[in-house]
Amino acid sequence: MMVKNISGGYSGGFTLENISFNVEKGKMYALLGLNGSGKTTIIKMITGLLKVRSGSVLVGDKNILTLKERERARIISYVPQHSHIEYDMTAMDVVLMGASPYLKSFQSPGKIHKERAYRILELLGMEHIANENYRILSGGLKQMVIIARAMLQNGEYMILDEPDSSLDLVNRRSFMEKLRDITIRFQKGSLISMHNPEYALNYCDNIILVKDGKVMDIDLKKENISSIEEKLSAAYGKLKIIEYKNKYILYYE
Amino acid sequence: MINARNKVITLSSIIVILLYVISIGVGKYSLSAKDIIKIISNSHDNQMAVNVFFNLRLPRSIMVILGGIGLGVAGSVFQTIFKNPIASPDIIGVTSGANVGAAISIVFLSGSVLTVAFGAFLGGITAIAFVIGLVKISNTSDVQTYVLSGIVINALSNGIIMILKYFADPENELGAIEFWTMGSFGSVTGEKLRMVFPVFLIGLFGLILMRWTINVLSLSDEEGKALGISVEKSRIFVLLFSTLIVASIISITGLISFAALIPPHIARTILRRNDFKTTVFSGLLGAILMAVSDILARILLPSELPISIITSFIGAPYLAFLMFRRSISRVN
Repeated sequence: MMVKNISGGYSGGFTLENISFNVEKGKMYALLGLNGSGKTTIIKMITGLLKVRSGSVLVGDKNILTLKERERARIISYVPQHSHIEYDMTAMDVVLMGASPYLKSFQSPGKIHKERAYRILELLGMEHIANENYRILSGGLKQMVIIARAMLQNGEYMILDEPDSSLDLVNRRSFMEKLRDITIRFQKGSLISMHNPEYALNYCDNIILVKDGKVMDIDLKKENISSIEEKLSAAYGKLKIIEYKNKYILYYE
Repeated sequence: MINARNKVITLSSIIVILLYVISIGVGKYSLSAKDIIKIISNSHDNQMAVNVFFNLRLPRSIMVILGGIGLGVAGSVFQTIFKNPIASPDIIGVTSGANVGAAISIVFLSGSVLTVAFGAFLGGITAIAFVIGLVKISNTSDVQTYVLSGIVINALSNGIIMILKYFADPENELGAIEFWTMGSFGSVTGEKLRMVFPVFLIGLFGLILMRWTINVLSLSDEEGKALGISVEKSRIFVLLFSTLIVASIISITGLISFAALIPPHIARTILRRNDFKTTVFSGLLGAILMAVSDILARILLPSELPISIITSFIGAPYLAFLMFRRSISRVN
């Protein structure tokens, strides 16, 4: 997926100019930046939820921004920060909504979709909650149900808007691990906006760092630690990356 | 779980059918079950009973059931797509538009039952057209914009109705306008039923076709779009179909309070889900509420009461009960 020179934002408010970066399949990208740097604006623009003024998002030879919602939904699965589910609904019903872009007009999900949804829940080790009420699940499980919905939607790319914001430390770790597993196993291109650079260092392949209206792509697998340190420091203030048992810990000076 | 849901729906269908039969029998001229069987098998010798059955009771009872189903279904759909458990067709001005239409027909046109029905229907449709127009002009099409537009239409309608009432002839017209807002199945005839039935069916059929989209519209607009639904367009269609249902009912019966608000609540509380089956169940509960209310309206006093009096006295305590129960569950 090639994001090419997109510009846009809110009329009379925040705007971004000429943002470009790539998202490859089978890799996990962290979208990092301080509050108000424009992470959410970027996510909304590339998912087509916020109209861009100019620029394109190419997948193959298609500009997905000019596609219809339905076609775009087959290429990109979007996971919001919170899913707005107002009424009681089983986890299964929530997952089944992921079948929407594949249904013909006036069609409802059928047996095939239900089997597929159940298999995805099984894969994520959540089949036991299929008939539970989504609204009384824990924050971590809720987020995983939405991931299951995104998997049924089966977009080549998964775009997640701060999915970890409501998770505690333990859940956040297991969530990132599962997401990484899914990304590699199903060769998805995942872009996740998040606040904590430490999680980006430990679970992602690249960091897309947003600062002062510009983005910088940091390849974590190629660049050395001091170069990453320098780039992150430019956005977050002076920090050090400490390696401990193959994990990275951030130390803010 | 799935089976339990089907059982609940089957049971309520049976209750609806029973109430339908009772509803045919009840009234000033009462018909017993025996009478009804004889009339159906064409062997009743009293022509009066036969006439009452075919010209008054049958259309009325059919309308009571259809009206209940329609308002229950429309209420459930509104609460789903507005993501708000107190939404009902009143919220976007359909009913107040119908009220204006009826009042105009009473004051300026002949005021005959058919013109009033026609005026009310046009009024309801015009109101929703205005709401959609306002939403388009405002360039934001989220749920709040619809609610705000509804408030505008409701306020405007109220103003128009006050003008009409002010100039209405207090002897006949004023009373007719007031009476219309209280609702009644008393004036239902076979002719009127035949007129609105196709419109009602188009609306109901449309909502049945869009059942999955309605379900997805219960999410935020962004999620709906990301799941491939053209949210704005779908919402307009769902609103239009619901309006056809509501307008076709109240154009004949007048306003019926609470009938769209309460059934979806009970349906969700019992099924603990909100999907198409819940909407179907809500329709059946609507039919039960309407049939019971209409039967009570006919038997409580020697003369028939307007239906909204009954539905209000059932609906208001029920809402209070819901609030009470919520506060208890919060304390626990």
